[in-house]
Amino acid sequence: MKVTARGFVGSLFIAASVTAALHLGCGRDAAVPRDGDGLDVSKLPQQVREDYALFANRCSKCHSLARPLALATREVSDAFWERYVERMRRQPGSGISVDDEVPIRRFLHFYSRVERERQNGVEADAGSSLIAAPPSAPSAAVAPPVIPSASAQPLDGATSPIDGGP
Amino acid sequence: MGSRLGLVLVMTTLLAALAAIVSPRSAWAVDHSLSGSAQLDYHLVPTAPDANARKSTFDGLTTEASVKLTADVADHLSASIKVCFGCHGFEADMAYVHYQPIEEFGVRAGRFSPSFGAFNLRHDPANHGLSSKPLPYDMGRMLRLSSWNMSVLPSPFPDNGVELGGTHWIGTKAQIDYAAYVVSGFKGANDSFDVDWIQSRSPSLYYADNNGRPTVGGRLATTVRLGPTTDLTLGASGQHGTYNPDNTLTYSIVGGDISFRADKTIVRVEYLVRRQELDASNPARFKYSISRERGDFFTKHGAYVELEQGLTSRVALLGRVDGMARFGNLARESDLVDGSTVVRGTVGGLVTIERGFRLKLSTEFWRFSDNDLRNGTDKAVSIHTALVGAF
Repeated sequence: MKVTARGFVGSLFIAASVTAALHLGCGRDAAVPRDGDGLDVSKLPQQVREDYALFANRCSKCHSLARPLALATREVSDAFWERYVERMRRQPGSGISVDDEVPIRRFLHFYSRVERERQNGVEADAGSSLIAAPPSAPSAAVAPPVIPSASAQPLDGATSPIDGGP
Repeated sequence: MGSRLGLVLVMTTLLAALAAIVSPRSAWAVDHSLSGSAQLDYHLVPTAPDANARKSTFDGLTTEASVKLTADVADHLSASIKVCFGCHGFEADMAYVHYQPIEEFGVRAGRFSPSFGAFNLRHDPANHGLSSKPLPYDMGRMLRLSSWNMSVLPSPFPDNGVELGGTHWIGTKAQIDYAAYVVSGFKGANDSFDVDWIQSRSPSLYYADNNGRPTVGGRLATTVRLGPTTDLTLGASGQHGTYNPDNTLTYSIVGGDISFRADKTIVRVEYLVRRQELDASNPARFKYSISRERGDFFTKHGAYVELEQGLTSRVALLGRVDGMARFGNLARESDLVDGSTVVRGTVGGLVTIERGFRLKLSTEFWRFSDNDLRNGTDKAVSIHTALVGAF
């Protein structure tokens, strides 16, 4: 069997058709990451869902969301996230613009805080279990997250592992 | 044996250093990040039941594991070490320093996979949805791998060298990346018919170059954001060098890639070709006359189209069509002919069991242009089942 240009174009056409059908059939819920390593959006406080959607979209392009979320279970600081996100932004084809950095860091700040509270056994707020707080009674975890100060660490201080993975 | 022992000692030392550095008591914790993955894959080839046919296939259980540490040494300087364990045993996939004073310019030096193509960024098993790599980048999982001498560019391809690169944003919608590098290059004997992949990765040669002439290459790519969750990446890559000790035989690899992502749908298309010169001093070694077209060189083409579609938050469907074609002269005893092809269709699924822990299932349908000399067929089926974890 020979590989022909016709056969290759045919494969492309079939792939495009299947893609279009699945894409239309599976909806366009951008808040749900493409892999199951993310969080249950319905349990996130309303205030962080937009940040999470951006984080999930940008940070699942090259690797699983399990990587950054696992890092959040460690004792990490805002300065760490600042360097980390900046490093990732500089990856070839990352698709993470300067404008994306703050919302991504804001979500990671929130999630790190929730994880720390969970590890410390704090059950006082809704964020600890990632259960959305009632809109009328925002908890400490769903208060407007602190945006890490740009002066805390130099933004250009990060360099990179140039692959998508470990 | 001695070099193997030495390698194990080096790897043990590196891992001990990793453990010490990431200790919770370490004051450096904020400056380091540790990641890793492990995949166990079972490769079943039901169409190759006899021992002879299985000689050209790595079936059964294989493990690919890796651990990587990145440390921010200074504001503009980081260091990365990645140690892998797979079919070849322990391997240093990365050991380099990266200096990036500005976003548009950086330099990394040491051991790394130079920038080529789109797939290599995802070569870690935790970062691609199917157990096997696309055929143009296959490293040891393809059927008839001995006849084909593997793929166009087996991935990953760590090498010693230096790479300049950077990224530039045009507004907030478009990103341009570039890389240019000088590395040792692939290796082969003066009279070899192809790159000697074992020699190219063998620690018994201390990862030293076999000739004094480096291989040069580069990559240029652009990523355009078409919508909030839609982006498109176009890339072109190339490298050129000599592979034999006498620096008389050249190889060149060029490729192009397209990746399109819209919400939970990802389409990837990639093509690459390697042109390689052969030593024609002894025409009797060849299957075809060296005076005919492509008598003293060959070209190996490879391409794939891959679709990844998230069905639910835990389940994704994957489909891939890939193939290779080889044109040009061959060793007299080769199973292939001028114009041999292989095409493979793959359907698979990716199930997230727990965050960072996935089940991969896939079935591959193979068709070769040449009948297998051992079982007389041009078709084959293989099945992969894998568990992969990442942190």
